[in-house]
Amino acid sequence: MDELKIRASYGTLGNQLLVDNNNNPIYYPYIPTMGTGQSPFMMSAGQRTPYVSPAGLVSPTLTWETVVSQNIGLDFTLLGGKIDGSFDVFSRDTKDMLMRQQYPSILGTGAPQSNAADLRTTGWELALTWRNQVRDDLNYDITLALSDWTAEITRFINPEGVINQYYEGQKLGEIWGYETVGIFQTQEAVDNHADQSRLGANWRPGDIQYADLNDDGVISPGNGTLSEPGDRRVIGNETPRYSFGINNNLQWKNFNLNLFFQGVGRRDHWPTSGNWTWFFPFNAGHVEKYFITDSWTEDNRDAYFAHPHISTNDKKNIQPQTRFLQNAAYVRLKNVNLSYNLPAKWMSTVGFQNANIYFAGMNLWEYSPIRKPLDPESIYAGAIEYPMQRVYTLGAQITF
Amino acid sequence: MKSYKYIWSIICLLAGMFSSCNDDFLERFPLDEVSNETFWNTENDLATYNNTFYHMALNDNEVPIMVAHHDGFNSLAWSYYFQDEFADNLAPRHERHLFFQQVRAGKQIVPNSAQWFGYSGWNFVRALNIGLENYGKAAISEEARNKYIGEARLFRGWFYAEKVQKFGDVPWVDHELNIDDEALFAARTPREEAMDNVLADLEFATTHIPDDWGDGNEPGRLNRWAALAVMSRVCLFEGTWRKYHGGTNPEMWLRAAADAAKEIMDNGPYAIYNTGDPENDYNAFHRVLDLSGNPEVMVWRRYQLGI
Repeated sequence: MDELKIRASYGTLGNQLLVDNNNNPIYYPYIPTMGTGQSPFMMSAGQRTPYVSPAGLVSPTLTWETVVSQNIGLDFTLLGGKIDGSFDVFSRDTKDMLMRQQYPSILGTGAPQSNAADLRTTGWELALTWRNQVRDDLNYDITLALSDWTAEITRFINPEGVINQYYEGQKLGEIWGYETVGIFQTQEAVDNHADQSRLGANWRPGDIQYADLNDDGVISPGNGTLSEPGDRRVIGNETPRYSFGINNNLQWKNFNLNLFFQGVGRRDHWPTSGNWTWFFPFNAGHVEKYFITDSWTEDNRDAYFAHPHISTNDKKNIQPQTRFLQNAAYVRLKNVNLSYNLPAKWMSTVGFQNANIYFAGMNLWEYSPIRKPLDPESIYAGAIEYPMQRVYTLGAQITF
Repeated sequence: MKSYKYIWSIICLLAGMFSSCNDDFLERFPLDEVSNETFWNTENDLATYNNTFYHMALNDNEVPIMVAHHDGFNSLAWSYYFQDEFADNLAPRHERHLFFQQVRAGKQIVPNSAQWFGYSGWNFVRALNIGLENYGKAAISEEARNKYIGEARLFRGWFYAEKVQKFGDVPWVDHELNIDDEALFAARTPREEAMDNVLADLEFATTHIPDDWGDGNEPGRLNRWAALAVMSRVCLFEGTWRKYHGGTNPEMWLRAAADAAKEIMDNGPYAIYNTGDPENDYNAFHRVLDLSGNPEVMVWRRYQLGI
């Protein structure tokens, strides 16, 4: 062992920088300020009417956010410098997090930011490097960076336990949805199953069969609270877990190879069922081949998707559910760089200082269990955007 | 002499030690923005604040009382159609007007979930209540102050009357609510109690708003005659409703409606527009953009390009 260092830190920091809905800083968050404007309601000819509008609300208990960070770390070097590593465990508590709660509309204005929530983030980070000089003209190194974190709401005033707000004990990124039994194959199966009319009308063979988790004979979202979530449950979490990057260098004589991989070990993704988005068939203004080959028909009963619905209004078959939940884990070869330094003795004859030819590639290879055409790195854009591209570059670099 | 110096310096030192900063000195308000603490000073401040009511009432999706025209395409979906579709003035066939078709057809179908219409406009009530809580800060005569109180109460009574007409019981809010206010979760105020509050508002308005604001009335602020017209309509509806659907004291309401209308007829400055051409006069003044000076028009709205 060549080196060993143990680190620990603890810090508390106040945050008084509040931002409004447009992310502009609010310098006087405790003073309600009144808006001014020129109204098109004309009280006299030829001019707009100036007005001053009422001030917004300030929470009566407003104070600043506090972030408490703690970490313990370990740095080490082993085997004469061949292994170099560091490991960190951290937690970050955000106390009195400022956010807007929901209130009855007779409040008459947007809810003020109040110190409504506490958030706890915990995680760890690991960096490991393996370096080796095999021969005089051959050496390589591998660096692995791996990290993981989760965040949990430890305080939020939500007495009814409304699911679409924060609630105490919520892991950030939770996805609520139904459990899918499968696709109805016969009318008889539809008739014998629990009543799905709360989710849509006109159920028939080819539609999705949802599981009746609470055994009440009705498939429903309940009243959207923790105590009555209906037939929904947490089906996944979209927080990226075990993010990693692997960087490899190999040098042999005048050749130099660099490979960089990047990925996520675990992540769930619910493909948005909004209009004009990827993935769900007939949800947008275009048709792809898989819409047809992967949709249920009487001749294609094992299809992935329900039978075709050419409508952007009817979402009954694409409610958040286990069947279409995607595993967005991936590993991707982000970068490849192979270069060759022309021998120095050639250089002197042509008058260059050095010259180097290289091939570089981006996104050359990937593996992910996610279903095409989704890409684990571009799914969070929402609307249909330009997909990932493979890029090949061939070049030369000459220094005179 | 020397000892005096010592005594003086000790006194000065002690004075410095035992006096503290004035907290007010540290309490500063932003200079580039208007804040509630620094605003309410002059009559002009109150008038400028009350302009916001007219501005908000432009959005008749939220504040339907002034029968404005909300916003392009959306106006077709809600806004003033509310008013006219309950009558037979309009008969659109689009699906989204189903409610109104049902009402006109005499059907009463209670929807089983919340609907988009009618529950909005609480920002207007809040603005009115904030005004009513702050007008007192201005150092002006009671008479001048009461004009603006009257204006705000006219809008509040009018707004609530419209809500009561649609819903019956309504949550009556008479002060600015903050997030810790129990009134946020209070039950609705019964119809008759709410309408008593409406009547009190309108009575105050019709006694304190001036006959003429001295603003040239082109179109200007709502004057006492407009307030009387509103009061007459509100009371007529309420009196009739109580008479035919059950309720206490319909005669008082009908009497109030009649009195308000009579006051305008007897003492108001309004008359039928007449240029001696009865064949065309009615038609003529409906086709001009500028209604200033027309004796038949009590309240109007000006539209002008390029402002």
